[in-house]
Amino acid sequence: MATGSEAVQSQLRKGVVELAILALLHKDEAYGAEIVDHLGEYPGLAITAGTAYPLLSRLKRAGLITSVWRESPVGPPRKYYRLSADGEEAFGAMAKAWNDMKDAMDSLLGREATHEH
Amino acid sequence: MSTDESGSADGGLSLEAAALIDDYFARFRVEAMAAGAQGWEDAVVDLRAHVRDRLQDSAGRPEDAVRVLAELGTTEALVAAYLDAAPDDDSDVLLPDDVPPAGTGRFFGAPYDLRVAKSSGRYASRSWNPLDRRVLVPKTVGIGWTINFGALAVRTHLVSPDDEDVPFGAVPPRVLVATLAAPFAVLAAFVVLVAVSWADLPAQVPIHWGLSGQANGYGSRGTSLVFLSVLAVVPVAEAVRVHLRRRRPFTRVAASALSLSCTTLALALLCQTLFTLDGGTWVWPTCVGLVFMLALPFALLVVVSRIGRAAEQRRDLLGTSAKGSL
Repeated sequence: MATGSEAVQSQLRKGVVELAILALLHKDEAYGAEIVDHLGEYPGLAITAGTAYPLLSRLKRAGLITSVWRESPVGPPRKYYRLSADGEEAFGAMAKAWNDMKDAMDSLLGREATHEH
Repeated sequence: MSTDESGSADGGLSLEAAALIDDYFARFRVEAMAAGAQGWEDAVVDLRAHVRDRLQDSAGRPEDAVRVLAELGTTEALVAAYLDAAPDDDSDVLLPDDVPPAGTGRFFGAPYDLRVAKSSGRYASRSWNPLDRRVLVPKTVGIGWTINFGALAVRTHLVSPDDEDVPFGAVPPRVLVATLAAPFAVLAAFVVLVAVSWADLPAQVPIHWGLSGQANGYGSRGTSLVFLSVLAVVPVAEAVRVHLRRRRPFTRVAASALSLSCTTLALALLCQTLFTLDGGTWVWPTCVGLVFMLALPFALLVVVSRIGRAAEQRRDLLGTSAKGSL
């Protein structure tokens, strides 16, 4: 069992980042570096390109996202990702599961995690 | 107290209810053993305690036993929960695969893999995987590491990790076949060089060199020719076989690249032999050969990957087929 706080964080984050990427793409399509930048705005979700691309590839294989090359106003064409119909559905279900889990965790952690501060 | 309850063996349970419970766990036991489940023996004790606990407040009638057992689910479902979940194909990113497959492991810290079947596919996925940041990855067959040219290409900014949906997946078939031209060109150079030079060579030729460049081992001309020819021809023949079998594009390009590497080494060793016989006292042909042995396959893989990216872009930007891809 990982007990270091860093290891615990990475375990927690692995599952959540996938949902975060789906949430980003639910709003609007994005290219790889853009996704990395957007997630980088949230310290808890920041991932490296080395993590992002394998995840995108996995989501694509699972049929949740599709990709398409588009001309870029600057520089060479970029590969944009967006949710597929299956992805929209999976995102809805995952978001609901997340909210249920979040409420449950908030109430469980509420007393203990907050009174340390 | 009714007669049913007075006869109960287990804290207020009717005989019929107790029989139902015993029957449930007997079936669970048989199914768990048949399925090879892990850790179910301890579970039976816990589960029985759970059932007893849940029945404490009930009348202990058969209906109550049925209700509580239904909470546990069918015995099949329960057994499934104790089965080692078969590793799911998609688990690689979310879960570290710390359980290595049979035939693999570590030997004095170096990874080894003795699975020979279908090794060409695994060679392909390791020698070109732009999604993996590691340049050195565990070898496909044998001990040690192999070079992930994909990571090297990403680090040198020659390609980006998501350039291609599936490596070489969109590469036109004629380009896949054309990758064989590279090892064949080097093989042709090897054959020509053998043809023009071999007849004039002495019976004994150098086959081993020291670091200073002096030959320190000699062997018969015939043995040396056989050794170099095997090194040059067998990998190319194997690559042709992979192409003829219509393996995945990924595997085919990697087979071309690997045979290019081997054939280049054979050509370099042949050059070294001729160079030493000609009075040369250094090992630069071998050194140059070693560089090309890596540089040529790298260049081949990068070029094919670029062609694959260009094909994807043509598809999406010019709309030569359906928009988007799955």
